[in-house]
Amino acid sequence: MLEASELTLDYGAVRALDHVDLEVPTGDVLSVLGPSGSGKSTLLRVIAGLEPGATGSVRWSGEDLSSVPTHRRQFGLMFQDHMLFAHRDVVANVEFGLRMHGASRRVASERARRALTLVGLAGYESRRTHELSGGEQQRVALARAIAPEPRLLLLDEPFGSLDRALRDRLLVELRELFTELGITAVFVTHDHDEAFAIADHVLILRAGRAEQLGDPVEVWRAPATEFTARFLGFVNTIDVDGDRLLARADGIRIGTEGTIEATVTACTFRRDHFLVTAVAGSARYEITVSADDRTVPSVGDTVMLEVDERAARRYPPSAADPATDPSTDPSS
Amino acid sequence: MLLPAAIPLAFLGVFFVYPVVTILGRGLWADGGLDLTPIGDVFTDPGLRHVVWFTLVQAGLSTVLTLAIGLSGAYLFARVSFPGRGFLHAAVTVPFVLPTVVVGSAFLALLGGHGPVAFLGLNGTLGAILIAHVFFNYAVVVRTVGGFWSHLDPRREEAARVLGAGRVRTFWHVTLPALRPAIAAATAIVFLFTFTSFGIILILGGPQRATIETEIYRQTAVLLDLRTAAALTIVQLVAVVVLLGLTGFAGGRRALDLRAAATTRRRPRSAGGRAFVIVNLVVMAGLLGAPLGLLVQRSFATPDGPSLGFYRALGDLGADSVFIVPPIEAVRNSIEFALATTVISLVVGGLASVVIVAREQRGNRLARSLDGVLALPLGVSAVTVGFGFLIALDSPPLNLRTSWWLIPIAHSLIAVPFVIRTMSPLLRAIDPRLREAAAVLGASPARVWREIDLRIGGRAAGIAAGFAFAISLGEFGATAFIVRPDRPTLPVVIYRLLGRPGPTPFGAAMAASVILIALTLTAVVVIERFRVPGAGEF
Repeated sequence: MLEASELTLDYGAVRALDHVDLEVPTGDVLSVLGPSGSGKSTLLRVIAGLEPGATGSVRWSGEDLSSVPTHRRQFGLMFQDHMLFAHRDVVANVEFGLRMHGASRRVASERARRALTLVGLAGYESRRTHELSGGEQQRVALARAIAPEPRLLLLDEPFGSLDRALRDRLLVELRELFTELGITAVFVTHDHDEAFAIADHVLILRAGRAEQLGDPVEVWRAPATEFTARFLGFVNTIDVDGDRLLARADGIRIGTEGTIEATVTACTFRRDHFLVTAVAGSARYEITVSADDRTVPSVGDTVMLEVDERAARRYPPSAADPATDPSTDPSS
Repeated sequence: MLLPAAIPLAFLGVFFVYPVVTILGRGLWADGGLDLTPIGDVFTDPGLRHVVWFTLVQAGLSTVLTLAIGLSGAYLFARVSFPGRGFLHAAVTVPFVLPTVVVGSAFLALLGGHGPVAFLGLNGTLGAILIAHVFFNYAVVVRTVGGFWSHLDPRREEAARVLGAGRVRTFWHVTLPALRPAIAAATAIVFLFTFTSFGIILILGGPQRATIETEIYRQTAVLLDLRTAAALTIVQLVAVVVLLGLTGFAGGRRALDLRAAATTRRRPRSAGGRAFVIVNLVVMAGLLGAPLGLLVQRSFATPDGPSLGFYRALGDLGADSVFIVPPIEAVRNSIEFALATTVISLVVGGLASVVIVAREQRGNRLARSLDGVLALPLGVSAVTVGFGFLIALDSPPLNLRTSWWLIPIAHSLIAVPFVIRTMSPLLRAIDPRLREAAAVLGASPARVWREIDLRIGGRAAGIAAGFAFAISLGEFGATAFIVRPDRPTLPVVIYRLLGRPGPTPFGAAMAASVILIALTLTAVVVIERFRVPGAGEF
């Protein structure tokens, strides 16, 4: 079990991590989610022992690792852009960690081949790394990371450079692999779908601070803070009785019962639903309407909007804080 | 970090700065006071003024001609796909790594007395010098501009075409401005090389065609007028430093829309396109192939028919007065000097590269200036190095005149900038995260250094060693000043043989040139073995 507490790191005047606490039970996967620059990669580097300036403690099954250098932590790290060794072929890349842990040439070769088979790259052993496609490089990096059987696997946006379809497929394979091998992992991403698909626990980071740590469904249903809510897609703001109500696009319905009168400014077709944009005064709403619904509004229509309290959360009003708005993040 | 930086700097200080200061003293100082008359003489004496003028004219003309011919070759390699492209791209680079003395003798074989185009009467004219300079520097333009061109996104040109620009206007308004940094860099390099050209002028120019470089040699070796030689060296130094400064301004900008090379090449589709390819191939074959082919042929063409006679003559010529030792001994001398040069320049240049890259990564701005300072001997010409050694290192406090090491040290001064240019990009390319990746996988810091830094650095050192070896083999400008008669190098032997009458010395010069080419190509093959795909610019 990984336990980290009070992890703090300053890059010059910038606080990259600010007293972050987290726990990952053995065999579980933790997704770390947050906008660009929120400290996700830094968190992984601190856990791996690659940031000598960090304070706080990292423990594995109770053992304090602060004086254990990176190469003795028995962790695996997959870098965002793979960092394969270009001067070695595929199998030599995968063997590297095994050799470093003292495996004989024969054992290393055998286990490297097994790891390559596991990631679907049997037969690629003697290829040069620069001949591989992005997806293949990603698999080699994964095989290299899991081959020494690390007690904890750290993954830094491993699918960052891949296209959507490939990502979705690899994500399922990765989840299956984790379950099969009982891997404990920390998985960093800025992509919500990725984070929720793979995780047993989700940690939301904001400007180096842990915003929320919890079960994925719980975090998705009940974001603890307004920042998390907005980051997870609670895009609509409705002020009610002095409180602020945040609602997802599916948390607002168009119907006669509604209390907010708004004018439709756009309606875009998204295959299984329509996304309707409507304004009322200075407020702007995004509403999903099922594609099966026969009464899809047109631009210029006046509609009545009704909030579905189950898909909305109530937060105490806060002073306008630009940092609270994660909509600047391109991925959200 | 102090010691690694101190060794290259001390090397440069003792073997370059000190000789240059000595030259300055000889040229500017007389009777305990500043005396500018020798410098003034360079510009007032009609003979010397003509030398300066001729140096500029031949360099300017050579540069323009090389660019004119090289640009179409650059286009060919960048944008046209044709059979044999890869082989030809490697082949056009060969002249650039050839020793200048070999290039001189190849053109002597082509244009001189018994050559196939002797009727043109080019032997000993400006024309011969220009053609040899184009031969030598063609690869600079093709590689520098062509390499850049192949990475330019052709869709920008397509955009101009769609907007209504014709081929010519597209080239003039879109392609040429985008190529400007590469063309500026190639122009500067070619001008610098031809401005400081020594061996080619000495062999092809004859007595009337002297440049500053050959005049320094003549003043030193024939007229024994060291003051005038020093004054000429100072004029040359100033000109080169000004030139290098101008280059710094010209080469700054880089285009942003660069693409992978393979996608920008197309097969020629029109008859005109195919004709363009053919014309270019004929030019390359005629310009690059003919002199070398002829050189090899002449080395076997003894008066009694094809035989190894001229090669055997290299072993027999020792008995007469000009050669104290048989010329064939130069092969062993050259290899020994080249090996010593390789070791010295790898130590000095390798340490400098490590320091430069380490400082850069820590954001130290001094790194670039160290790189520039160590490139100085290359820029200010080999003749300056040789002349400086001659007048500075032959008397106390540092008397190395009889030392075997004098020549490898001089060659190393010239090779070190190449070693740095080869090694530092490769060392720089080691992503710090590669070391982290190795550490996470369980490699201890020592193991990380061995597995990552040493592996990649070792490869870089292999390439640099090949360059240093080839440079030393072909070096002539500095060697001519400091070589000892009982230990000649191959280029020196070739030059001496060419200066003697009769068919046997000429044929023997051809044979020695062929041996030198073979040795140089061996070094180039070593370089290619160490090259990693997609790394480095050379």
